[in-house]
Amino acid sequence: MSIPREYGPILDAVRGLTWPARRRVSGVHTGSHLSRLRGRAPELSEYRLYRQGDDPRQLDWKLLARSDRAFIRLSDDRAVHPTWLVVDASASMAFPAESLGKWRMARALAVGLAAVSQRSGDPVGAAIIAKGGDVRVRARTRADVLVELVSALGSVTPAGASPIAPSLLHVPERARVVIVSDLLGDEAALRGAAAARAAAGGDVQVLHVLSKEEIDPAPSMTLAVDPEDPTVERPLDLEAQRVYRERFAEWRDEVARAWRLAGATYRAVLAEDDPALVVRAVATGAAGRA
Amino acid sequence: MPALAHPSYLLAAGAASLVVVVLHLLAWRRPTPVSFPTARFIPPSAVRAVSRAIRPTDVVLMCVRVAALLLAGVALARPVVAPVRRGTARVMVVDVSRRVADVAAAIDSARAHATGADEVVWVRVDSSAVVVPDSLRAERSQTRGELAAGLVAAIREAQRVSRTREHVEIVVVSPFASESWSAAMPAIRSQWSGTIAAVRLAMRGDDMRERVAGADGAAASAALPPVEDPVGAAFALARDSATPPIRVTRDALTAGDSAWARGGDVLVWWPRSSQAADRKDAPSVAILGDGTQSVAGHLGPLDGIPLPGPAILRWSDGTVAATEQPLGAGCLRTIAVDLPSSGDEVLRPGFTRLVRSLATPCGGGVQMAIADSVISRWVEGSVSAGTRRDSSRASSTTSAGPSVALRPDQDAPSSPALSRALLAGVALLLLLEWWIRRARNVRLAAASSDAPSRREAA
Repeated sequence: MSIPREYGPILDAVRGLTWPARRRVSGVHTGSHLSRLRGRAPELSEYRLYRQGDDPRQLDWKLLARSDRAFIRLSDDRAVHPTWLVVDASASMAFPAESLGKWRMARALAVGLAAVSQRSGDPVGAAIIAKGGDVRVRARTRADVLVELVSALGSVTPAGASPIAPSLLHVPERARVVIVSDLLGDEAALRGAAAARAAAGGDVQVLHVLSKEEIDPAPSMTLAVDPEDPTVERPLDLEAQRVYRERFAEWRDEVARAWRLAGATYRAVLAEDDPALVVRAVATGAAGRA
Repeated sequence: MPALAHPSYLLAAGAASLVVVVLHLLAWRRPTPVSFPTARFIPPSAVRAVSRAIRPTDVVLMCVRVAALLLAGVALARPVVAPVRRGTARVMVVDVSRRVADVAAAIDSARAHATGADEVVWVRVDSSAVVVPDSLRAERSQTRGELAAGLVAAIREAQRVSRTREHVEIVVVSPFASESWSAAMPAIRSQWSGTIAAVRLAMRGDDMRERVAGADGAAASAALPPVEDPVGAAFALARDSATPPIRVTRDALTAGDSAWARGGDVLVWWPRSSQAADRKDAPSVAILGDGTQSVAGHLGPLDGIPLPGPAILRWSDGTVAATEQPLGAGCLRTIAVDLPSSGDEVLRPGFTRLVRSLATPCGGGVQMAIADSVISRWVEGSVSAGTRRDSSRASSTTSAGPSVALRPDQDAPSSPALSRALLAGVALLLLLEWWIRRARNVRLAAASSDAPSRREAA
């Protein structure tokens, strides 16, 4: 199975891009990220006097022979940094109904970030939170993980309102987690779980997917129904639109502040944006939309 | 052809139906819901909204409502299913008053004119009008005729029979004596837009003339004041063979005077002046009611004298100087003219002619009849209310006739069975409307309960 053509632009755009970890990783497998472990890498970092208990194999015997002083060779170790993509596939992501812009953006971001991570040699896993059960892709470094991810994303249609927070329990504690969601579900619970991971030294990134139509509803819309809760039916007249814009802006600001306070990297993404630029911004750590 | 007694109800129902149609075009309806993930941030309010539609909503319901309204309007408008009008009808107004020469001949003439009509209504007229079933008694009344009363009754009968007859004609069979004619006749005529035919009868004259002249041709009996009285002298001078039996009194009227008048004779009451003084002021002019004669002299009005009845003599300023009031078969003439106690003014020819005109028979005399030209114009409906009589004596007809309004019959019998049937239809339609609404609500409830599952399935 090959990757569908729709992902071609994003994969081409992120080619050569690296996504370094924000802090030293604690992996044991050799990778491209600075590891918390130091020692056996071939690249010399510094010398240090030998202390009792050090591994004699790290002694620089030639230096000991020349100077009769026992130094050990220290080097920065490199390790892999597993990346887990948690993609929200609830019914609210199927918006706008005609273009499914939010869902398309979520898929592109997932594939793009997975490609960047995979090409860095990091294991990439994914959990797609969909109705009827999560669709999981095991974290692997093989090239076909992208194909598997694309296949998993293609098999899911946004529907229902499944909670996302429980899926974080299955993500390895030291892994980098990228949450791609509109945060209209169990946002508080998800933020709590993410805060716990961040407090434990994990890297949590939140990509808040929005649509322009959500920020500025079309005038033709007269009756809005929440796809995740059909009992919520609200007429949208001019006055209601004004109040809605105010409330929605306040909520976005509050969510952004809360996620940042929780230690996560928050980034608002419009469904109409270029996903390649977003992926590049995420990978390079550039400042994003508040 | 059905007609409506109160079409305004139908117009109101039509207006209400229009409102219903407009409301169906501008109905509160549920707008099409659009999936909107952030709907929770919209303030809650009523889910319905007004929307305009080119095509009316609930066409069946709208039709049922409009039909119910229109049926109710028709029912309240009291539909009248008029019978088919065919044939002709004649309303025969037969004058049997004292001026008719031969009542039997009058009835025969009326029957001859009624021949050929599918329906004939007889109205007997003397001093009052009576609708008689099919025939008239050949009895002459001794009272004055009142053609106005007969015409009013005839028009009412004509309007009644016009509901079933295509052509209705009023035929007035009368001598058209001036005493039977009143100023209201043209106004009453204008209330009937149909045809009126006039058949003139011979007027009773011979016996009156006998009564006037007496069997031997001598002057009829008279009771006059003494010739020393100016009035007595004037009447004695003016009286001739054409003068009817007349009693002239200067004192208060007595029972004998009344009996005299009720017997068909003329009673003239010419009161004396309470101020016995010769009149030295400028000469006054008294004018007969029809203006044909006038006399100038030292005359003056008598104050405090009641003057009932139509004026027969007026002063030059228009005030009434003398009146004639019917009294039984005769009449009472009240003269409120003060005469000079001395001098020969009352013996002059002008005053004699005036007194002679006051001594004519009641009701204008035996020769007084409405002219044919006036009758023709009245029949055509072109005679005004102030038409003067063809009279040679003074008589007051200047006042307009009474305002008679013969309103069309508003109590035309409607069809209660039809109205009840229409109201029953309205009830059925309202029941149907309720049932349609109920069925629609049940359908909507079922649809709304299925909606979430359909969304989930989608």
